[in-house]
Amino acid sequence: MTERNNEEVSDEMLMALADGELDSAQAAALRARIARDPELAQRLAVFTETAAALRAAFAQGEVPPRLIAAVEAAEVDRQPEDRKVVAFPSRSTLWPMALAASLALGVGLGWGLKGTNAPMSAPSLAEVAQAVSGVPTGETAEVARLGAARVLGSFETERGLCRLIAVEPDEGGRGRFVACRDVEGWDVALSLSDGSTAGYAPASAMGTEMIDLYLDAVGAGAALDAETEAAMLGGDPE
Amino acid sequence: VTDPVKRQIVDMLPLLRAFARSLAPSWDQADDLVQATVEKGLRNLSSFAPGTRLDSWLYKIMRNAWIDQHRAARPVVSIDDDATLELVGEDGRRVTEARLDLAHVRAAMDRLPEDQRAVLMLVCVEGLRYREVAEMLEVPQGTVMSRLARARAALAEDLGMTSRDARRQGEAR
Repeated sequence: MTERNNEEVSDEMLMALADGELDSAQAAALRARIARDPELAQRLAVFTETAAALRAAFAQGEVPPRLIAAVEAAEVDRQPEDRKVVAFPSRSTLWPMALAASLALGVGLGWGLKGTNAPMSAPSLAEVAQAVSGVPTGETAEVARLGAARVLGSFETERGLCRLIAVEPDEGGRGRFVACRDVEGWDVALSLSDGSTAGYAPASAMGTEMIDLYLDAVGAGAALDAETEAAMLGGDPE
Repeated sequence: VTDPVKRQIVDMLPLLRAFARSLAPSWDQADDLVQATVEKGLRNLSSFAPGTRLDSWLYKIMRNAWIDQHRAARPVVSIDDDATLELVGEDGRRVTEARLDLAHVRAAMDRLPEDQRAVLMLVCVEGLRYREVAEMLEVPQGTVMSRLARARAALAEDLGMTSRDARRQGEAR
């Protein structure tokens, strides 16, 4: 039953798959091998499960107001010349729990999906969620008229199955959103825009926190493993 | 907050807290460390080289502050007790089977070496890319990956996740 391919799969390859670091072609190829090989699936589970456990164990609460106050009150010794600092979109740092529980919530008005000069309008986020509904966690799909969309996780919640999806549009800012499935399809529960096209923005850490708060608010457990996810998505990959 | 550097630091607070929590064994101590770090950083802002990474620079300040503090004072916090207390403080309504294991996860994390805890916090908890973590910690990406792989193997072993029937989250104990 254990059919050996010519190449051994290293732990680091499996880890990169679990962490969403492989490109979609590599990820698809590896997923296909894992689907045929329970031993590989078990090795992969070590990486997905440790990450899920750590996310659950070290989820941050709100940033304590005293830290924000400390930054505001701190004395600054700066150089005479006014330093050029990359500006990050200011956003509310205090995130009331009750707000996180509200059903539809959009953060970041700079959402870049509606391209200004695109001849055809970009798909809505609900359509993006639908487009990747057969894509397992960790994989990236190219969505027409948008760009890359990567599934970061699936969760069982009080709202049913919810998925966290990252989009990197060909044009406009990156973002993440949570979509939950109801009878009519995918409903966007929360969307966060990075507001910048730069490769790195520390604000993404804030986004992670908000998403965690939202997932907690709808009673999400740990991220689903590949097998459970596939079953809940209804599409048997075989 | 109107000052651009201060605003950038405020936006970075969740990341700094994650860094700090990888050094300190509780959120209280992590937050004290974050506060000491941002105050020290802003006080010495003239020594920050523009165009370099503010997060890397603050992380170095943070590590030094933590080491200094612990050279002076013997650690007094019992890690396991602390982890258990945090669990009790959580919203009981949502504590599922998997979440009951969180105290074990925290304790197992605290037993790992510091460099491994940092990459776990940044990649697994904060969801940063390997490349971003490598830049932030100023180590090669391969080093980030080998630390991550080692740390997760040790964690899985410690938590009994590697056993044959530990295939689903809820059974991993």
